[in-house]
Amino acid sequence: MSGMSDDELRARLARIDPAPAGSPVDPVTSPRAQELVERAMNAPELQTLDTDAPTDELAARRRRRWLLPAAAAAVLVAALVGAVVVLTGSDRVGVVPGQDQDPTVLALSLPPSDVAGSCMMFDVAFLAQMPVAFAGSVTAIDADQVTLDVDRWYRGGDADLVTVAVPPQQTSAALDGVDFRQGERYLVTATDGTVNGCGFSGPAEPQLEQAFEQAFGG
Amino acid sequence: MRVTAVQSDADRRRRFEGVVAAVYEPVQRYLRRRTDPATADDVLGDVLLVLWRRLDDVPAELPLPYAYGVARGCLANSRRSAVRQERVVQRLAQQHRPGDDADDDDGDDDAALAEALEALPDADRELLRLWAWEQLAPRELALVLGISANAVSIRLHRAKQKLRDVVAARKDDDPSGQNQARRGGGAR
Repeated sequence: MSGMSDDELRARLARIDPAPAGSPVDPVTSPRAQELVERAMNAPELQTLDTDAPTDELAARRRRRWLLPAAAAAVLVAALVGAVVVLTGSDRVGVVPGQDQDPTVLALSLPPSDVAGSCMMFDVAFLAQMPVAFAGSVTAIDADQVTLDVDRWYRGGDADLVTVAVPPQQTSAALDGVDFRQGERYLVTATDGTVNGCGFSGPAEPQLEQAFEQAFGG
Repeated sequence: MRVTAVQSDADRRRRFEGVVAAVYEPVQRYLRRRTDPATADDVLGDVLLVLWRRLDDVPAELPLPYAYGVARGCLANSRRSAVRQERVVQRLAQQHRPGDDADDDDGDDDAALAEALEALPDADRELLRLWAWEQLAPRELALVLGISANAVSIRLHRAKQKLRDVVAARKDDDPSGQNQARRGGGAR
């Protein structure tokens, strides 16, 4: 099998296709298709957003900025002399040491690097589906985690602090990266205990905050 | 101003319906190749929502690769839970049980190939699936993955070689080829 040509390999792979071309799927003429189309066009978040043109540009800017290739990310880290942590990897967070007043803590981790390779486009409708969303300021950047002091929960928690695990090795491209700086305020979303990058978390700029307001209903 | 907005709204809806006509069925296959039917159904609605929202960015000539890219992102968002991933792997393993085919040797080979594919890093696996299952050309792959066509060619070449290597290595482990599927399944 190791001697297979490209064509042979492609044909062999096609044989194990779980849904080959021509296999039955819901036709585009079906009532369900019509319903999904109507639902997409009439989604309330979208209509609200359509009147708000600058958000597009902001999202595009944010996307570009955060889709740094590994080299650029490395330069960024070097340039900011340790004040910046580029988050990659998938390590689970450990138990969080308590602060002075024993505040409640929510521990988050980062997406696996393979997932991080794919950034979906920023969209308020998607933002609205995030189960965890909060605003907070970075109070500590340690070797293995970043700690944020939460000042507002939009959804999915009530902890005073949130920690985000930083893996010891940063070997992969920071495609999904968010750079946290000491003292700065961020808007963060997470799914299944995993922080979302790609514009779904980031510095608390007015326009991102507005998107959060729209998504989570203030 | 208002009239213009209404007109462009109608245009937009027509254009969206055109895009949906082109992508609705293939995107369902894309999702079913990668996740369980319930998740595929859920994510399909998300994909349409994003396509509507990003309609101005959908390239007129290549709506499908663009839609695959959106589906890829939506799927990644929806299944960050390990449980779901596991379900997919189990489903795929079941689908490619040796002996399902009329010709048992082919069945074994298919199972071995399916396992080798599962054993690859996600990025390689996705590239190979897009190439062999969605039958995309390098330019289209580049659009889905958001990388240059040149990078696609290099990565695709490496991914193919990795797949061949994994298949060969597994075959060497078990020259009879009889127990590959069962053993691989147990290790997972």
